[in-house]
Amino acid sequence: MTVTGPPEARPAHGLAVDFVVVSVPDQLGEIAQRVRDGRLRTNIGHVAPIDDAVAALNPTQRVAGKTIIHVRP
Amino acid sequence: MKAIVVTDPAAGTAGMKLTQRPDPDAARLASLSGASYGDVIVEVHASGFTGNELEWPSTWTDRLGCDRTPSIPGHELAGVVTALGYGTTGLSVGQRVFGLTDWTRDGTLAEYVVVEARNLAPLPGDVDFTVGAGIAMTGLTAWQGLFEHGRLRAGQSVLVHGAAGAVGSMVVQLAREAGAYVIGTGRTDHRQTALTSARTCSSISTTMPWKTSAGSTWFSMSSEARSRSGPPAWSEPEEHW
Ligand SMILES: NC(=O)c1ccc[n+]([C@@H]2O[C@H](COP(=O)([O-])OP(=O)(O)OC[C@H]3O[C@@H](n4cnc5c(N)ncnc54)[C@H](OP(=O)(O)O)[C@@H]3O)[C@@H](O)[C@H]2O)c1
Repeated sequence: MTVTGPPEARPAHGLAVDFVVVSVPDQLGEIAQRVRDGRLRTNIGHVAPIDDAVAALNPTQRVAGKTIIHVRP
Repeated sequence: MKAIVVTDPAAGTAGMKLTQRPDPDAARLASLSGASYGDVIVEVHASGFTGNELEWPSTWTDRLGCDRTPSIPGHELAGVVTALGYGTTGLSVGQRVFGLTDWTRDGTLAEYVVVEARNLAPLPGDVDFTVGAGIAMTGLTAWQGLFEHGRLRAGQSVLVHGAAGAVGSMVVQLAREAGAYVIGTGRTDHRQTALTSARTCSSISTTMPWKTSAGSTWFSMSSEARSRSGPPAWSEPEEHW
C-alpha cells in the first residue's frame, strides 16, 4: 500500500496498491469520534497564524507532527 | 481576503507569498447563474498543508489542463459555513465543518474557500478547529489505506514506513485498534524525533528494542497495551537509544 505515488516495481507475489485519498464525510465522523473518546491521538506539531504561514511551511529543521495554520485566531 | 499563493512550480515552498485575493462571490453562489451546484463557502479557521503539495500537478493545472496560478495551496480545513449554493442539503450557514478540498481548486490557506458540500463533515462542538484540520488528511489516508484498500482484519500484521509522520502515526493507531500487529519504521538519524513523535500515540507500547538493519531504524509495537487497565504504558528502548 503506498501513498507516495505508483510503485517503481510490482511485487512478484503480492499486490501493490497506490491510491489518492478522498474526502468521505462518514469516515471523517468515525475519525472525529475516535479523537473525542481518546482512541486516536492527534499528531499536531507547529501551529502558526496565517501571517507567519510562509515561514512555518518553510521550516529550517524537521518539525515533528502536522503543521497547522490558524487563519482565524 | 488574505491568502497564501504560489505562482512558480520551480520555486517550491520558498515561493509561497502572503497576499490579498478576491473573496469568493457569495451572491453568485446563491443565485443560479453560475454552475456552483453543491458548493458552499467556508470561513477557514484552521488549515493544513501536505509537504509535497507543490509537486502535485493539480496545484498548477486544472482538470481542463489550464494554468491555474496564482494557486492557493492547503487542502485540509476546519471552519464555519458562511454561504450555501444550490444542492447543499445537509449543511447550514454557521455550521462547523471539516474535510478535504478538491486538489484542482483553490485551497484553504486563505480566509475563505469554496468547497463541495459532499467533501465536508460536521465538526463536533468539542473538537477544536486545529484538531479538525489536523486529522482530515492524515486520518482519511490512514483509514482508506487500512480498511478500504487494505481490507485489514484483526490478527494481521502491518508494516508502517514513516510511522512517526503525520499519516504514519494515524496508521499505527487505527491498525492497532483494529487488532493488527504493527511494525513501524523511521529514519535512523531521526529516531529520537520519531520516537518522541510516536509517543503521542500513548496507547502504544514498544515490545522490542530498536534494531538497526540496513540503515533503517525499526521499532515494533503490539496491541498489548489495550488490554491493560490504567494509563497506557510506553517502555523505553533504553539500551539501543
Ligand atoms: N496518496 C495520498 O492520498 C496521500 C495522502 C496524504 C499524504 N500523502 C503522502 O504521504 C507522505 C507522508 O505524508 P505526511 O503528511 O505524513 O508527512 P510527514 O509528517 O512529513 O511524514 C513523513 C514520514 O516519512 C519519513 N521519511 C521522510 N523521508 C524519509 C526517508 N528519506 N527515508 C525514510 N523515511 C523518510 C519521515 O520519517 P522520520 O520520522 O524519521 O523523519 C516521516 O515519518 C507524503 O509523501 C504525502 O505526500 C499521500
